[in-house]
Amino acid sequence: MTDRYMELTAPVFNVQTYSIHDGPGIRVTVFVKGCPLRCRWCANPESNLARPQLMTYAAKCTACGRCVAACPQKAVSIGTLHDKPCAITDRELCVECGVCVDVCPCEAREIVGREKTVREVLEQVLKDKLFIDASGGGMTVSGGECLAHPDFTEALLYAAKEQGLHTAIESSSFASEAVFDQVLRYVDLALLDIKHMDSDIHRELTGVPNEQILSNIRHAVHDLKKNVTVRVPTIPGYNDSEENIRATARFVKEELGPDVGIHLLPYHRLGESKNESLGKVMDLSVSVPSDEHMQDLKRIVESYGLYCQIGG
Amino acid sequence: MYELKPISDRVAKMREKYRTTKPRICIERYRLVTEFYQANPQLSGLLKRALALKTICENIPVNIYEDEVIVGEQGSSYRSSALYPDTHYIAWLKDEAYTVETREFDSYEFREEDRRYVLSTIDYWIDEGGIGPKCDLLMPEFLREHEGNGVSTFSFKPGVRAPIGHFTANFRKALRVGFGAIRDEADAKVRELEAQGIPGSTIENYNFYRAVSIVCSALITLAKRYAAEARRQYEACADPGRKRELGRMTDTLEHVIEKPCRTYLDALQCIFLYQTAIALDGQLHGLSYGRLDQYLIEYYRRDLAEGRITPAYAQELLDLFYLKVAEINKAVAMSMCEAAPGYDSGQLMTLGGVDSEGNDATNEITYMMLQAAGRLVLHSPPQALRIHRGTPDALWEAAICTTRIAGGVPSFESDEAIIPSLMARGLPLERARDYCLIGCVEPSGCGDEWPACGGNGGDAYFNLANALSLAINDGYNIMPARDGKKRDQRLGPSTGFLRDMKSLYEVFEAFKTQVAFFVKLHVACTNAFEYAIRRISPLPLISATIEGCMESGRDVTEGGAKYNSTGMAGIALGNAADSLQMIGHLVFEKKICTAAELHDALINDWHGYESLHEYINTKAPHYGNGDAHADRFVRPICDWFADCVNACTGPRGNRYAAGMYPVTTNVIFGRITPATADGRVSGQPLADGISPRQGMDTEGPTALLRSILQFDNQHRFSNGTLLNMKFDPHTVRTEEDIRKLATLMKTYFANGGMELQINIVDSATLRAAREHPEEYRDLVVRVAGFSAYFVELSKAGQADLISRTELGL
Repeated sequence: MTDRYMELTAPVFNVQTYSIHDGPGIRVTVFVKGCPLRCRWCANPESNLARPQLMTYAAKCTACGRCVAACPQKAVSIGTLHDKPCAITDRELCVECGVCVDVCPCEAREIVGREKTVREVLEQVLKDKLFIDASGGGMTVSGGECLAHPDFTEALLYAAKEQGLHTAIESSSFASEAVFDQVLRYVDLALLDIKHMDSDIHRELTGVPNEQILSNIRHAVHDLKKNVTVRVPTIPGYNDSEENIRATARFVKEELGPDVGIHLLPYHRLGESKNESLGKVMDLSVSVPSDEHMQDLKRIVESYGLYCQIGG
Repeated sequence: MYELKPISDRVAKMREKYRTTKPRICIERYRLVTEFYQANPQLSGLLKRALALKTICENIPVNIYEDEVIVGEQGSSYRSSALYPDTHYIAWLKDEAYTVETREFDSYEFREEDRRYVLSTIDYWIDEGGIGPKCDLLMPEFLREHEGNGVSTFSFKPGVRAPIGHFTANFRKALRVGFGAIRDEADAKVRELEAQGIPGSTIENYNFYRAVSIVCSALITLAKRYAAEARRQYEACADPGRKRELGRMTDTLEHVIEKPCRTYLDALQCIFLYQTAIALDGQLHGLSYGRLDQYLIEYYRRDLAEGRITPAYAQELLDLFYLKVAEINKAVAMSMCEAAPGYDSGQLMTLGGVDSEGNDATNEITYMMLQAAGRLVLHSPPQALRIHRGTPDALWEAAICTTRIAGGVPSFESDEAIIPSLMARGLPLERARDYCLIGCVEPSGCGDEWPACGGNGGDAYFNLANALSLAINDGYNIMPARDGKKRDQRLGPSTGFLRDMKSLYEVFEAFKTQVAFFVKLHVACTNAFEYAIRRISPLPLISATIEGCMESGRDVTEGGAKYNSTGMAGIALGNAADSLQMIGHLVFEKKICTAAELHDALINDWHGYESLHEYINTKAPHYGNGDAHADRFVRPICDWFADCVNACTGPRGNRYAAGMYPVTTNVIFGRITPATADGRVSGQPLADGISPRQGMDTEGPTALLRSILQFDNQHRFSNGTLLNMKFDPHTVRTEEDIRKLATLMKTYFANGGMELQINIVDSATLRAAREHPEEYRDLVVRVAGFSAYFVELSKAGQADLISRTELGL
């Protein structure tokens, strides 16, 4: 690689410090925007599209009307949301130019996502080196889907390794094997999701089938010899049946090996308010799983002789 | 995972009694000192104080309540507060005599006949007998030209001036030597001096030893009176279990105080009774216990080895001891409770750390102390855990789990920063290693130093935000006086107006001039105040044990202790540092506005400059986000303040010790501080601890710590620093999470951090607690240097806590 790799870019929507549930130690997690999946429970809906997007926060809005006056598209008007006056954005008219963000006095509007270079991101990550080194932490690339930006992700991981950082990705594994190989080259730990073992249901829930995903995970363990942890976002009523959890555990044990652990990630509701902020309605009515239920599922996984933990 | 063992039924019952008993103002002590002072106008100084204590110890009611094992009281009923008109500001009670029962927080029952007695005698204390009128006479005259400056709060109004307090007695000597032997030593000195003809100035030493002898006897008398009460109950008791216990208590109370302790129970009772007497002497103000785990361990291990005690019973006794400590409280003016609400008495305990050889000193009692704090969920006593490189992982885990339950108990203190800081102020290595924490976060020698580390009670603080305001207003305080009038008099040095300043350098130099001037003023007043205190309230009861006093024949207030210092704490570091860089950013770098515009905006409290204010709040860089450029004034401010303070000399020939902590004064000092360039509105609370302005640190805990670590000269602040962090409970759930949080804290300490305390609570919970206090009665939160029940905080205190940034994912 030449130094040009430092100038590669991707739309990044967050660089999260004190990230403690995305791999060992204290980490910095880089979230890239753009994802080929459309999981119905998505916790980061702002990461779906690869372009910058407008988010609005009704709770902070004071309905002062400055955005209404400023909007060149006349897409904003004062309406009512949650029983209080609030600036409402017509998403049909809005072109996400960001003029309203500049005039908003209450930080109730934000453009999420900005093209950033590897150099820029790495600089941000390395600011926390003190804490990363002290804790045996590192950098994790998450999303969105980091496989959707293979050149950038590969370059960022490479650059991080150059600085002596432990690297990890959080991924759906949904990509061609060639892309998967490219990105995983500089990865120390791959946190890979299995959202459902039944391909048809998988497609129904996420928009894509799971054959390629499962094949990539197998490939990561057996051919690339990567340290892999399987993660199951546990969504009540969708993939938390005993049958599916057993099938997942069986797959891990039989096809990946007993050394691969499983993290059960209980569904949380953060994504719901984010959908509202994006002007979308969430097509899911689901509750947060109970602690007892999560413990039951954990015991099921453990009955296969696998390591299992609740949460990342 | 760390586990709390359940408390015994008895402890549960006592805890419930503690939580449900409304404190009451008891006037027994008040009556005793009033009668004594009025009957003895000829007495002064040491002998007056010694004889007053003798009267108190001989006559204060002694009560032993049901189920109690450790005993000692300030008043005639459970959880009552004594009054200290001889050593504390008392005029407030005249104003609040009818409202103290119903005021917003820290309300007290005050019986009608007691109120009548107090109102009929209180003018004596306000006009002549008390501390206020005597102190004012001795204040430096030039203070008059600078009163109302807002930087140093000294004034001539007999304000809420309290005695120095803030020390820890030498409990080791009380335990190991006993007051019988100390009295004998004092008597021997008296006879020796008499035989010599009391030559020259030894008359001072002669009177000192006489006073020590009197207070030792008084303390022994108090213990024997409790012993007599225990014996009376023993004889009347029908329950065989309780009777046995009362028998043991009688034996203990007959023995301790006078003679060296034999057992763990002896030791706990001796410590509490000595502390009780110190409080009764009128010093209840940051009275700290020192290294409790280090004193107790030898007695505990011996009892265990000799079969006198079980670990469970030892823990129960420690629980009961904690409940007694929590019970002690002091009724103070409404304006004072606001700074430290929740019936707080600041009786800090120290645990952990290294021994005098530098080895880890953690022991069984260290863990038992955390157990007591965690399972009792008490806001008091506060605890300070000393941390060093060799602190066991198990202790880290126990401490973080405890702080999660008991809101901010313990606080974490770094041996690696504090030991060198104490050596720099004169303690030798092995003494520095034996340090303890006083009051909130103030390091001190343990039993060998007179630290005056709370400075002078209410006047220990130095407002850096107002120093900057005066710096850019030619020395004028633009905040109107209490009567609403503009202040016409220049109160600080003339340093020009911001509108005329040509560079950031000029602004900073003006700031430095104000700081240097007001440090001198503050020191002059502090020294004068201490001189007054020496006359009004010398402390033979403390001097009896503090190392150096018996040897030198001098009271601690006269400089008798082996080591001496005086503390002075800077507050609003975050506002000052952020405002300076903000002036640079707005006026000289980005040219967002002119110096004149910013100056007008500040004078007008942002009215008419809303868009500038918005820009500052939403777009401009701020201290606290790991941005080295925005953080660049932290170090120079701290260096300058430490230079100014540490160069000053106190009245005991001691060095001053700089600190950087506001406790909760950030709320009340905020009220007298005009708008600051960091975007803070006039009257709003100042920044908490050494943190940035509330809500301005948005980049997470590692970025905040990177900013704070610009303050990497904390070892120059031997009076302590204070950093509060609030974490989302979701980030502190599993053992792994706890390890990671410990690593974060260790990294702060490894890079020069001195003190850290954490709240693990989300703002949603705090908001809910504000709405439904009845459901959150036991929610303990760290406020500043101490913890409190959230529901007992003032509205302003609650709002300040909620507004602090919550760190996490």
